[in-house]
Amino acid sequence: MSDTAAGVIFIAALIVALALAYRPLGDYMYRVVTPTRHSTVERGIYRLIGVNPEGEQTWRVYTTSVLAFSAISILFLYAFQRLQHALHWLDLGFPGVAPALSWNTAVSFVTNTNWQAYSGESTMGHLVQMAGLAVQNFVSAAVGVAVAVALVRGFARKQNDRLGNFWVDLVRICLRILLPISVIFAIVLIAGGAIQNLSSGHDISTLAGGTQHITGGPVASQEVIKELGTNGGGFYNANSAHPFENPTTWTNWLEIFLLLVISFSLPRTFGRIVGSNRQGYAIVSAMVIMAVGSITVINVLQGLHQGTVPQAVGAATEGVESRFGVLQSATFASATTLTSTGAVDSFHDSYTALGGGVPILNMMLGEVAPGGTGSGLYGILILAVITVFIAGLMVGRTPEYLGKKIGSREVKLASLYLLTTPALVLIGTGVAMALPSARAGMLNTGAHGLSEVLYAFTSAANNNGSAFAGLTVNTTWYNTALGLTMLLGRFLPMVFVLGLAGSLGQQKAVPESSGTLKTHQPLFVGMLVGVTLIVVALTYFPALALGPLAEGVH
Amino acid sequence: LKEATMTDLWYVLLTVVLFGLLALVLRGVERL
Repeated sequence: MSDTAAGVIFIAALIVALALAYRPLGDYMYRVVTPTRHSTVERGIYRLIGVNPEGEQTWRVYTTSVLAFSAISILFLYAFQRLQHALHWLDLGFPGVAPALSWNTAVSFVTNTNWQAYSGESTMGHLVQMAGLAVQNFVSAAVGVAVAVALVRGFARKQNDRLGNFWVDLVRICLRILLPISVIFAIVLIAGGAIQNLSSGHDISTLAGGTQHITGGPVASQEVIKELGTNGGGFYNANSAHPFENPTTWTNWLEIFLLLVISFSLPRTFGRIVGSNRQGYAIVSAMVIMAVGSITVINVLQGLHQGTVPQAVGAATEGVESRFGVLQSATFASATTLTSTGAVDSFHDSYTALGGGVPILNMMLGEVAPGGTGSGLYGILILAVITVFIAGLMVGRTPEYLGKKIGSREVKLASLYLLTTPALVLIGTGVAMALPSARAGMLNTGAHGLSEVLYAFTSAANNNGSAFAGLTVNTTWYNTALGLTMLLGRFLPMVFVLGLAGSLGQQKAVPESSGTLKTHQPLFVGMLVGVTLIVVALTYFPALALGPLAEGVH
Repeated sequence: LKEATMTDLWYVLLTVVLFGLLALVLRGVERL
């Protein structure tokens, strides 16, 4: 079988599996976030943290709960890393992590980014990995889903200032969605060859006569939530290119499936909550169009393997894990940046100039196709609000979406959401390029050097976490600057989203009229895709022109 | 705690200030 045929089957199998999961998983998540009885374990947790699970929150209290939980999580994770050597259990003899790196990592995992300025196997003990970083992999993903569900409730409820209870949503999403799926697929990954132990590792003799330390650890259990929660932080520095994390081509397929499955199924949950499955199909259709387009383009660009060295060797194989090959790697690269995952099974910095531009563009799209767990859904719903606003301007009517008027306040909040990330990316990149000390971290000059810095800030602001290598980021400046970017890139949009949810929930429903834009029809899907692409193109085109585009046409 | 440095204090303070800023944005959104 040719490589191309194998690649097409690989992608087709992914599409079929995701389509099969859409209804059952989406319906299941709907039942999880819809008020039902609380389990004994859940009631025990609510008692422990002093929460009344029957008490629903206004958008202000819901947002305050999100922010308070996240602030405490960052401070806890910071202290955990700083004091790992003092805990004397499963620390593998590593010293406490340096302050700037601890803060960067704490912010990174709490914001679902999982940007890693460190090598896991030489920095973090097993206890910090399991009880610190992996816990955040669960709860940060759950926070994203909770915020998305709160926004959808805002659309669905009428003259109601309550959005649900953040603590109930957080606990339920962790216990009923993320944990069970993680346990099942961790066992599957172990069957595939991923390791799961508490070993400090083994010293082995290499074929060249040297010695090498191979670190063991609880890898499989963290690998699943790394993908499922669109986190992306690897146990090992090589991430999913490491055979202990991702042993075979079928585990590679499974990891891509896991990182896409919740985000692609959430539109079904959205459709169920707003009472129209067709609205869910419209949203997922827009996601699919952009995702298939991106995966096709990156595979074509990597397949063309333009450039002196790729032409000489016949393929763009630099930085590609030979077990997976070019097509599987390119598909992983696109999937990981279409979501907010950031895990890698190949090295994006080594991609062809234009091929490497695709992951950057995916992130700049706002990671909405399908996006991060929860963040993808609320991101595309914000774009849907902007789309109906533009459509309303075209025909001179007050825009409405799902029976709610999109007035001045709603458009202001959606606009603030859309402006936040580009401002963080472009200002951050600009400041880095202006500072000699920050420029000193660039290991490449010219357009590619700019692409590396642009990639770093795009990844941080969009909470992706993948990186173009070739940029020395474990410095006080980059750790702090990228930490600030991750934190503001996560929580400022969340405040605007929840503000919008509160505003929508308090409105009464507007009856559908002849002037109402049918938001479940192909015309709206096309407009939504168009608005997404145009908004991104206009915002980022100058930066892309100076980076990957300039390098690609050189 | 004996090993805590001024740098630790700085990062804790930075976190508190940033979340304080986010709380101010929240109040701003209320008045929008």
